[in-house]
Amino acid sequence: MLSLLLLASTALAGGAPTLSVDDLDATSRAVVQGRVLAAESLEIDRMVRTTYRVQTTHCLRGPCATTFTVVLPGGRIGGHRVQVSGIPIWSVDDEVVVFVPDAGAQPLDGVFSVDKGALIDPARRDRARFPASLTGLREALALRPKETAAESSSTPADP
Amino acid sequence: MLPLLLLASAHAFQPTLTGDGYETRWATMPVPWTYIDEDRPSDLDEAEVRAAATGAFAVWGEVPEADVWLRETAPGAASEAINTVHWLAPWPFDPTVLAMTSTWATDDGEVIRFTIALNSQHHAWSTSGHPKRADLQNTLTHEVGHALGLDHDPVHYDATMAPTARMGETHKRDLHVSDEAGAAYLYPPGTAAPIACNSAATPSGTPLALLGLLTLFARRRPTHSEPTC
Repeated sequence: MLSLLLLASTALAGGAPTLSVDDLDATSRAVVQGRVLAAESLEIDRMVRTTYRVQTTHCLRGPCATTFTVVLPGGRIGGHRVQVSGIPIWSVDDEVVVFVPDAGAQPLDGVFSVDKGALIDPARRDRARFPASLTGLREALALRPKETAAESSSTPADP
Repeated sequence: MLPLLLLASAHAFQPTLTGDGYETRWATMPVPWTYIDEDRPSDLDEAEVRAAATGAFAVWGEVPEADVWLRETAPGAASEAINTVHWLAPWPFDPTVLAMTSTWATDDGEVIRFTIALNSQHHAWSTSGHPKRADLQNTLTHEVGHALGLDHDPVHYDATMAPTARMGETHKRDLHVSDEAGAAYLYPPGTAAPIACNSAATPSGTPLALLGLLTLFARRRPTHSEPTC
């Protein structure tokens, strides 16, 4: 109930930090571990946004493309960090985890950096509900109902 | 450093950190800001928006034991404004987000610029707590907290820096004790040096000790009045 009420609220600034793995997973078509290949920041309408090109290294839940693009607010401009609450700033070669949303939307909530196996969560989600390690995230995803995982990763059957 | 971090944790406010773990804060006061009146929702007039913005900035300047000084500057040329509040449509990010604050900071955490963008594409706004609209001052008070270097409060859902807001909500206009503790933590009295009004007025041969005394004197500011120079 608390979760539903929180989801009914509107986010201020960055994403809502109350989302759990299940919340994120439910709105994602894929969960990808990858490495940042390129990052390009631009200021448009007084807002900085960065386009990250990410190479998939592990498909935690499919379907996953070999490479994909994530556009996030903030980034690096002129040697300065442009920060938005809850949003990471990645560099080339950073290891990351992305919950890729449905319908071609760009993620704001499901974006994480990985450092020595730890999941760096810029949105400061409740640690009791969200794993702090990549291993914990993998386990949480594996604990989801089997039929859901099978449906999402299966290839379409021949007509 | 450790005791300071423990103090921050006990109050639940969260300073925004750089990637290297530095807390972000302004090094000098006052921090000027400008409202850019473009893409404003047609059902709001400029005066009420300005009043809401002024109220949102003012409440942070009234925190006891915090040396926060935010000053509205004349609109002037929009392109010259550094720290801005502005509407944004089309909104390029998650449509559920009401507003987004970006802070420009050095790698060691000194904030040098901010922009507050308000989502005028996906949300209806009001300045009177209309139950089916987002309250502008409620939202801006939260965003100004980000501009000062505060992150979301993960504990107090009634704090101004709580991450979400309901339609018609107005309680974030007034700071929670946790928000006030955050402002006082980042800006204890005497930590934010005032910006020199005219650097050319400083004699080149002035002894450093005298400069130090002048700075200390300037920091003893009982009220947030305009600079006299």
